[in-house]
Amino acid sequence: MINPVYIEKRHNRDNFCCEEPVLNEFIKLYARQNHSNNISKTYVVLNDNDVIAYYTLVYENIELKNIRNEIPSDLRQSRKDKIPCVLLGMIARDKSLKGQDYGNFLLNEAIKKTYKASLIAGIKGLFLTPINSTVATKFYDKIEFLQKIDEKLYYIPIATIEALIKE
Amino acid sequence: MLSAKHKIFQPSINKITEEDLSISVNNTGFYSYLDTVTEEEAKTAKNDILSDFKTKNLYLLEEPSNIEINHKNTSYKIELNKADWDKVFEADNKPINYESIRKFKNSIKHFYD
Repeated sequence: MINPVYIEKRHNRDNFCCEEPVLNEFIKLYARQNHSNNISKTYVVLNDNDVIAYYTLVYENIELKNIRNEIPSDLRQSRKDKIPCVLLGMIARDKSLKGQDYGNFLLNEAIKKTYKASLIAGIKGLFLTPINSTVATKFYDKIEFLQKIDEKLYYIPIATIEALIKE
Repeated sequence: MLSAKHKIFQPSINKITEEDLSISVNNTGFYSYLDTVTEEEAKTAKNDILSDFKTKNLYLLEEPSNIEINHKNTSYKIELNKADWDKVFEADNKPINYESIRKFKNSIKHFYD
């Protein structure tokens, strides 16, 4: 069983390499600092001490006025102009793990964390922002229970998350 | 029909009366129909108005509990209840895709063995 853990200083990130340079740079330069400063929380999968996959979560307020397409009805009904949510800002696995469903695994872990967060504070769901418009979008588009709000924003409502946890 | 000819004003205007007909929504929004409409159209405007709240992404601080339609010298008040609003919003609520969830969970089973 694989269990992602909080990123630590002692974890080796130097060899991490996925297809997206921004995600390589983030894990090497910023992830741990942001984690320590409580700006975001990064969970890593380790092979010995090497980081081979990771995802990063933050609490976020999504502004409805910035959504160009039709707003999902459950968000509109929330009667707020800013929607509290958990945002999956970064999700990546090393190139060597391609084709092994690590993306799905990391997303599932993020969903589990979001569910726990929803029991503590009010949030509407998990939002996802693809960093790379081709690779990440292709990945998210294959997951049918994700709601695509626009090219740069996907959404999993809490109701779907509960179904995922209980299914 | 009515929905093709109206303008939406932003919330916080209580009521404005146009020459022939106006439709106002208490405290949260205002609809004005610039063309004259028949009495029957005014009475059946409710669904169009509710639908417009949805399609125009009009942000509501509070879902209106009534709509007042003024047609010349006659005023029609349409009561709106929770069921009306639920009907509007449920129409495009996507059902949970359980098949997709099962497929997703099957793909990651081996990570949890």
